[in-house]
Amino acid sequence: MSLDYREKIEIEQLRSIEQQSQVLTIRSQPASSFEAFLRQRVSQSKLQPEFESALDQAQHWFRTLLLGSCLLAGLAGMFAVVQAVSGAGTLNVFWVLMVLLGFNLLSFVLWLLFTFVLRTPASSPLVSIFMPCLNWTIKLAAKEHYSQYASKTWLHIQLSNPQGKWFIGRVVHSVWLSYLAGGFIALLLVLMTRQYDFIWGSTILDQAAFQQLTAYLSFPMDVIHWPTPSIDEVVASQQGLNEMSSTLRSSWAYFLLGCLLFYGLFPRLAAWVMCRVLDAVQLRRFSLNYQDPYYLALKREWQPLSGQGHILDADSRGQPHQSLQKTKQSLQALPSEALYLGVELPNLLVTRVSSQLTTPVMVNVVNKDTTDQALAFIKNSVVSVVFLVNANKPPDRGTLRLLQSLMPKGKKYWLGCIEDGAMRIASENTYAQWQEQAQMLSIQPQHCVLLQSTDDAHD
Amino acid sequence: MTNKQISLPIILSVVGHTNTGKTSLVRTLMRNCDFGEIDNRAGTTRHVESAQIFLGDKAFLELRDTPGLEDSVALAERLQALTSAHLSGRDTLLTFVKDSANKKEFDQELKVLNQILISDIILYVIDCREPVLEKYLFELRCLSMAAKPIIPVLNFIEKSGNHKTEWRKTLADFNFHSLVEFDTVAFSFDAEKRLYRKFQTVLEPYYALLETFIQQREEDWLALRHACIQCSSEFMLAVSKIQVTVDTTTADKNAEVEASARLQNTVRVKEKEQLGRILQLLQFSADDIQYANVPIKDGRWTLDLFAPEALKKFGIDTASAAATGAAIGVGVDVMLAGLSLGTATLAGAILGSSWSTGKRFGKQLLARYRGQYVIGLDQPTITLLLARQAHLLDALFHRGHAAQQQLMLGDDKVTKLDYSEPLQVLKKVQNLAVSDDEELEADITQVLNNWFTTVTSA
Repeated sequence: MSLDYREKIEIEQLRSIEQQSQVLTIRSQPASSFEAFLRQRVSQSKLQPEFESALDQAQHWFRTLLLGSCLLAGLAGMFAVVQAVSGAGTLNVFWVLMVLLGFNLLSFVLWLLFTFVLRTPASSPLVSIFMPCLNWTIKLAAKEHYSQYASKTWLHIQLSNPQGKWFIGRVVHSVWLSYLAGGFIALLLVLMTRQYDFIWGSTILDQAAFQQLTAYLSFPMDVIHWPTPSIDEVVASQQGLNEMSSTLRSSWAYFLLGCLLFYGLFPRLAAWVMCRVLDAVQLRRFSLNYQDPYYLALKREWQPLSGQGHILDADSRGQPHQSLQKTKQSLQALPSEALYLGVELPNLLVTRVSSQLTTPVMVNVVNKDTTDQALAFIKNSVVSVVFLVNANKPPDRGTLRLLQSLMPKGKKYWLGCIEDGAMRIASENTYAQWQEQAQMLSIQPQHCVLLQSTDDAHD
Repeated sequence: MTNKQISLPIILSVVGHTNTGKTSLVRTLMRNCDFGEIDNRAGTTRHVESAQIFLGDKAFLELRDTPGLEDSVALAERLQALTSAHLSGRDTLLTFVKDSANKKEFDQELKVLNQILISDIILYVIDCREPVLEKYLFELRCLSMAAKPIIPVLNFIEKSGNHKTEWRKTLADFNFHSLVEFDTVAFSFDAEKRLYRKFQTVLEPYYALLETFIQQREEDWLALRHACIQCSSEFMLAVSKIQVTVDTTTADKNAEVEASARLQNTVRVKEKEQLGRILQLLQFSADDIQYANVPIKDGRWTLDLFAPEALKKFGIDTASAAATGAAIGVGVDVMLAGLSLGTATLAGAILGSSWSTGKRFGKQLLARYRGQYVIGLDQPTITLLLARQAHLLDALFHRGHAAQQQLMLGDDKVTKLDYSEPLQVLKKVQNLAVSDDEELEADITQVLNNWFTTVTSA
């Protein structure tokens, strides 16, 4: 089952805690899918009570903060209405409208501008101010570091693009809605309990313009048969004319309330719904970046690329012993009068060694033919026989058998282990094994020598 | 293709002479440096050990690491003695492994033969540093008797003076044309892919499954590479942002030295942490690397408040923040029922500009006010860090899990790469003292990612 956005946010919060502090230890368990594995990790972290509250803290704070802001805004709206209508028995309709809706309209236009026109960077001016403020609040409020990490992550996801602008829109419209709702209620109560005369007046605009403006403003209200003042009533309300009838007062009162509804509350409500929906849609589109090193490591934990099996056929003989090592000597350590035979030496090494010895290497034993040739040399030889082997290559049973077959009785044998300069690192390790082999072949320990060729010594 | 033909996992016997790198091959394919034991003594592996490579959550390949064939000449002679007209090569092997009399002399070889008889593919590992000897040809003859596909794997091909050509020729003489070059120490994913492609040619019923497997391995490898590169880019971004304040107002003459030391330590700690992350991702151990400290020499680069890009960015941000400030100011005006007559709008615009300035350059301005200054990393150090990261990534991407030689991460690795692009963006980070500008950071990370990708795939 795929993850819903709430789970994804919690997973990201957990990631933030795990990456920035070592307080959380989660024992992973097998899961049918990677998503299930991640979900399970969140559940496991929540088993530790302090972490459950850490993951939910930011959301809780946000709700409280928003509720508080809305309450304050509602009260401010009421206060604004009371301020606008207090003191006089006669209200200038357009001045009241300007006070109640003018700045709402300006702020609405700015929101539209930031959201739909200044798309690049989409919401950064707003986010760049909101984010540090809220981060600072989180720092003050959260006692533990991990709570701060989790809360900041929640906030970051909510505010980051592309959902950030809708989230901010939601918050802004909620506050403005509360403000306008507070103002509407207050205005309704004031108009229900007190009697006002409504007038309008202008120095610059003429009568026709005002009539036209009122007609335009009344249009949506007329559609649903909301009571609005007629042209004659607008004319009759001009400042300095006759006293107002109760019907005219009622028409203006309805007009004022209607304007607040149609040009204040309804657009804000529509914008709020839109932001709410788009925020939810964007949040649902929010995805975890499985290419990120953190998730890649978790994926490995969930499903390793490889698994170590077990020993299918155990060793029944145990490891051989290792003898002591010896220091390297030059080729001059070998007897000068001797028969030199290579045993599975690389050709280059044979050539190099031959040039440094008093007598060249007679044959390099690599197959049956060379074995026969070597045996013939050995049988006819009266001097010591020196087997030259590659000290970088460890001996094996095959080499042992080969050497045994080359060692008829009655001769003196040496084992010269030549270090190949190209693979120097290995030689010291394998020399001990050659010493073991020499023992098994009954070659005297002092006749088993580790040699360094001249070329190598110059390296 | 029927289900009966396909059974998973595909069993691969990894065989060869002693010390040719059989366990190394398994380690490298598994990306696990803990599998088995690697040593230079003959017959380090004296048992048969299995390891699985997964496709999804199922074991897809089972690699069976076997002991080395130590005495193939004697083995071949014994098998030759058993061969008769009515026995096939496979039957000869079966007769040989059933005979308990052979247990003592050919204990290791029997373990190998037992495995090859039940395997789907035999991987014959060859140490190309070794010349072609007769005993190796005997090994191939013995293995061929199992009547299973054999894929020779030429190992240690990156070593100078290897006998690769000689081996290729000999194998061709023996009709082994489907071989693969795969150095277990100098890893290449392409070589690994070629190895799997060989499996496709010899195991036709598994063709489609192997294709899926290859794709998954490739995706995993690319994702891993990307994650490592991302780590390096984030690290470079983080160290470029480090700022340390030097207090020149106090009588302490060592203030600058201390600040510089603090800066150096912070960078070193971060680099070590970064190293740990990369090693963990690629499943290497800390022993794989020998770390030498970053030689941050003078370590000082006084941040320039008036760098052209800083001023440019400053201007742009001031304008946008002023607009935001105005929006907030309007809110305040409304709360006051418009009675403030727009004063808050103006105040908001000023506040917005100040906020932006403070956020970008607050630390530096405050430091200047207090008679201090801020230092960050100098360009040579950043270049060196970039070079070391590039070297680290490149070396680890081409390191087999069997490699025994430690990788040196020293200060002598400023190779001839073109650092202009990453240096340019990192200098921007330093000049702007970026803290929360995520979009800019994402852009810079992308530039760094591209650069690391280019230099590590070269």
